[in-house]
Amino acid sequence: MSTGVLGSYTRSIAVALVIGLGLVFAFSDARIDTWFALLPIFEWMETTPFGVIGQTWGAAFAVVEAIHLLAMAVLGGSVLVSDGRLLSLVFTDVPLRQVQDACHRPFVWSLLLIILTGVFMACGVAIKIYYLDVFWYKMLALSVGVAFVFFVRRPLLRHDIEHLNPQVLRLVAVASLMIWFSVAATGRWIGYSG
Amino acid sequence: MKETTTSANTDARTSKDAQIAAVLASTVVALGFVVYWAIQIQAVREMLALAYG
Repeated sequence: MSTGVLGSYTRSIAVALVIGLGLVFAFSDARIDTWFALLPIFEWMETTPFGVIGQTWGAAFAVVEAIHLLAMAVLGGSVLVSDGRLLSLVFTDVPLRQVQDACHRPFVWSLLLIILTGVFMACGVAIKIYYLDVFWYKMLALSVGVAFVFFVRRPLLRHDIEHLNPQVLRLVAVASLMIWFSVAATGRWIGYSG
Repeated sequence: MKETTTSANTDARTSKDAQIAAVLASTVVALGFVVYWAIQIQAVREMLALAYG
């Protein structure tokens, strides 16, 4: 009986567990140990072809950064439209489901492009960003954003939207805007640090 | 008839589960956002106070 009740709330239990484990990790020595353990990877990143190109050929870095920023613009646009529709601020004459589905594809492609170009850019300045707190906050925000979209937001919106609590939809939209604002803001911050 | 009712019940349960998970995750995100940016803004205010009194 109790297993059946717990089985009905697997997603909620999984989210609670991930939050709990994340908090334990954040406030324990494991976070510092992991940070030290990652240093050789960042040192290696600077020696890869991406790292060498990023450090020695400024034009290549600038072109990749431009693609990174354009992808950020597309991702930001899709987030603003989909969350704006959930908040009933934009495209209120278009069905909610249609807006969400139309925004998801550009979101996924721009996210992939952001990650690929981001890895290239990180290789060029790997040691610098390793010692920047804001880089790790950006990685945290990005990881939370990806997990939030694919394990919380999308599964929620797969249900009949008309039968979902509108307050929950608004809360999800606000949280999503907060996450992607933080990703963009901390990303730009890296450029002005170090 | 019975199968339709069972399917509707299952969907209602998974929908409730997805909504609880969404509320939980969104609340933690919102709290984290407020705490992080409040600390950053406070740090800037202190720096400005040090620089300009």
